Amino acid sequence: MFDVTPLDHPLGTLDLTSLTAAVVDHPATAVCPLPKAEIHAALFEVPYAQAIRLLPPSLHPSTPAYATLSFYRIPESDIGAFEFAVMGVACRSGIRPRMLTLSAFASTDAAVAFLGRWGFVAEKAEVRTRFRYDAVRSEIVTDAGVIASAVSMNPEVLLGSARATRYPQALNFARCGGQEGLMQCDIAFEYNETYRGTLTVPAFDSNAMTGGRLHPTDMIAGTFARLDATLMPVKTFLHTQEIGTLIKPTGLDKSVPV
Amino acid sequence: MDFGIFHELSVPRPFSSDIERTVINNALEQTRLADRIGFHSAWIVEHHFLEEYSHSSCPDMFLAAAAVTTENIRLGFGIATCVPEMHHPARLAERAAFLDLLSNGRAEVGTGRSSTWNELGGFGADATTTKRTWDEYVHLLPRMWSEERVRYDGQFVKFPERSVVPKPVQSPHPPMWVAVTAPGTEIDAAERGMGCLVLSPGNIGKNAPRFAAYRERIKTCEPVGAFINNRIAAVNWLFCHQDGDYARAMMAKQLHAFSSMAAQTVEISQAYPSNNYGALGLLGQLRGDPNDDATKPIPDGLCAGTPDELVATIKGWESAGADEMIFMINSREVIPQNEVLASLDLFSREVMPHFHKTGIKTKVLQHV
Repeated sequence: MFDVTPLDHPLGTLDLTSLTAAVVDHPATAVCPLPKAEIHAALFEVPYAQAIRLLPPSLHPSTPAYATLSFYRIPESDIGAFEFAVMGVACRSGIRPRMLTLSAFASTDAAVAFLGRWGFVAEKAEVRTRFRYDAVRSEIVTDAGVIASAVSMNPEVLLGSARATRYPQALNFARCGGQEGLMQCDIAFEYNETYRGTLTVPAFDSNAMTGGRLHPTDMIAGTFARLDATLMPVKTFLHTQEIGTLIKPTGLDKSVPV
Repeated sequence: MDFGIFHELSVPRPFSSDIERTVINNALEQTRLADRIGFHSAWIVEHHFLEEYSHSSCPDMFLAAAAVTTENIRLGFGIATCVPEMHHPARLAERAAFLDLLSNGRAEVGTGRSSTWNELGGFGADATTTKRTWDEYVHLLPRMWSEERVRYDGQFVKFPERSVVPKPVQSPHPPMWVAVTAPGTEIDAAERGMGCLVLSPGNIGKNAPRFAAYRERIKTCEPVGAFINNRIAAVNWLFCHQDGDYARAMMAKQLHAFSSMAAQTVEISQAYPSNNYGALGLLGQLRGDPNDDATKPIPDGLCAGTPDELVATIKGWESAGADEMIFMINSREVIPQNEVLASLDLFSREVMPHFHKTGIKTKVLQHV
């Protein structure tokens, strides 16, 4: 390759010493099929200044800054049926679109442990997403009540290649093999049906969802997809300070069943 | 085969009025040189809010400045955005006609509908209707240029009878083009008898079938305007140097800068999936990984090399059916201006003579 000049795009300013990384002793090493899954994703813009403060120095903010609240309904898996939700802020690792996880919620103890193999620190909660022809409605309920909800009104079927809704891979701040980094959760999708609706977010407890650090401003869209998902083994563990740099914790080489 | 240049007005960080002014002045200087040495056209994009990638939010103002400092080169809106939240069609018709007057009949009008959430979302545009609004616009613009009074009662445009003035110099009106990125858009262009401005640089073999499909379909078109513009212009990159390895190194710098800047945009299909935007737009497609060794540094068909190498490459495009090559000649100012100008000059002396000029010829009526 030719020598090229590094670009000086804006970078995150998060001081990671203030955070505790998820400890992942046994990262996932096998593929995990999640057939007949349903995903309801809510996309909304957020203040740029807030987004940049949430990202470590190895990640670029998205322009415009936006965030995603995604709800997953999993009817079949190795650990049975479960639902989970992930709140993330859009970013880039070099030129690759990614989503940095800010919080996660899962409906069963088994799911909490299962998702931990990919670096998610999920809190047990009631997570629910339900499709109706007038609207897709999702919510997260904890002991404190409804902490977030999303409604995609008048879902419209997307056809052809528009069905392939793009979900950026999640990055989770994790400690693995004695090193801290951003563990990437890769999911492959085979789409069956996709819809887009007019998004509203009737409830969003910023403290519960983002530690009070992110607030929705302008709605973009809500999407709902029925698909076969496959969670891939953990392969990518990124440096938190250097752009696009891989680190190789010893844990990723261990052959531990999921 | 004709040749043109294409300006994005990409601006390196840190942003300042000085650097923005330098980028605009450099582009104007490149346009003046291109005019003197026989290039056929200069195009400039319209983009909004695409920081770093393109600060070209007012292409008509740039073209007006170019019009009064050049004599022969044709001046292209590339692309006028046919989205109501951005422009009323009468405003587009007025600006194009005004440019045509200022330039004594040298305006070309490219049409498109944007493909990024940055832009469409920024204006609160309805991304689900842009293809339909574009269609109304391209049918309406020629009428606004050529009819004394126009009334239009469309699905999106309601326009009471008015005389849209001024009228263009070119009779019956300036040539119209369609920006072609997504597969199938070349057919949209052909069906309407509009020129095919292909923003899919690089691979000749991949584009050749699209060119052939365009040629076939335009035979039975129903032109939106008073004449058929059946030309295919392929947007490409250019760096010409006597040292081929050096030329390719400079091209790699351009591509790296371009794909990195493109990565900063949010494609409409990424944020707001729509039946209207089935494929990633140009910027999304260009998110190649410059650090991936498996990625070919210089895709087939890109114009980086010695004059002899470029003659061979352009012959390939000519065989595939292109009538004009329109070159991006810098990106993010990674190539010093004197080298950009030298590349253009060398190209005009040692490559252009190998190709015969074709296409629309205009006579300068009177220099303003």
